[in-house]
Amino acid sequence: MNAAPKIYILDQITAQPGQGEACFNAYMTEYAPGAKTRGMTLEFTWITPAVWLKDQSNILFIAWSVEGAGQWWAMSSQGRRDPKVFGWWDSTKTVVQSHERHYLSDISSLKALADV
Amino acid sequence: MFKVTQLITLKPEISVQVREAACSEISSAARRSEDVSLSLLQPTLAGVFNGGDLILHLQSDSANAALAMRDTKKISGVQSVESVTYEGGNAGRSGEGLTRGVYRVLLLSIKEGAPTERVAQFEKELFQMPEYISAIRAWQLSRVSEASGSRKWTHVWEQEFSDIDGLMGPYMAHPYHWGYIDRWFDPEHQDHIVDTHLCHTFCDFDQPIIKS
Repeated sequence: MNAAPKIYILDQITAQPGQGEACFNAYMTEYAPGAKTRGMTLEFTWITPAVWLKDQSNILFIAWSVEGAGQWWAMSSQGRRDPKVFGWWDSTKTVVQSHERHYLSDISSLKALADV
Repeated sequence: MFKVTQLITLKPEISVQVREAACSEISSAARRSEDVSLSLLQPTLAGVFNGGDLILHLQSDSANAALAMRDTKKISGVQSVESVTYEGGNAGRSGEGLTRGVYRVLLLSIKEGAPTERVAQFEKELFQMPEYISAIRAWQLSRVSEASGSRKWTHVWEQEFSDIDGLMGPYMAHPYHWGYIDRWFDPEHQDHIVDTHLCHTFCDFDQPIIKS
């Protein structure tokens, strides 16, 4: 039996000017542990530009994955019922300027994902 | 077409006799309205979320049917009622109409202040779900005119499936659902406009419910 295709959860975070490193540290210490308990696997932590800016905004791209739609729903339903999870974004405005979330898949997985 | 849908939760401690009496009284109240052209009263199936113990659904050519069911929560044995009254909105059907299957209702509430154009986009995308998910055999999206219960419900999303597998399988697992539509419901997503408290419920049916 083939494994369910990976589904990626991408957080694109624009840090407050000069707060890139603080933003990343807050995310990894306050948000990431709970994400892991909800079944999310950390895939990569990317940044642009590749230097902590002093008075401009870094943009962080932090990607997670889950295995298939079943794990996606398990992850998502736990998060949306816990105000500490979605409330975290509002509590970090001193370091997070804006946040976008995206759900992605590899194009090679489209057929398998739609085969339901 | 005017519609009334109620999700009725019975008190957990009541006896079988009280439960049967409550069902009988609910049915009688529904029948007292001469305008009712269709009525359904069915126990919910395993897996509902905030879905109640019973689904009551009435259809009528006049708004009077709603009046007959205003006092459901006063019936002995009834603990709470989520109630919506609405004129049937845009509807569709694929293939032959089902005469039996699973009827599903989602009650949702758009957060106050959501921009009108975002609500319209949400409605458009939700209504397009059957274009991608063929397990949805009939569907109707309606705006609520009168609501009571745990939220001021704004929308009713009704569907018919040929069986429970269509709802639990393709409907939930299709990427158009979790990868696209669900962002409106996801408080961590920038497009979030729907209150996280939802009523997701379903029951068997043995007569067509949704008329396109």
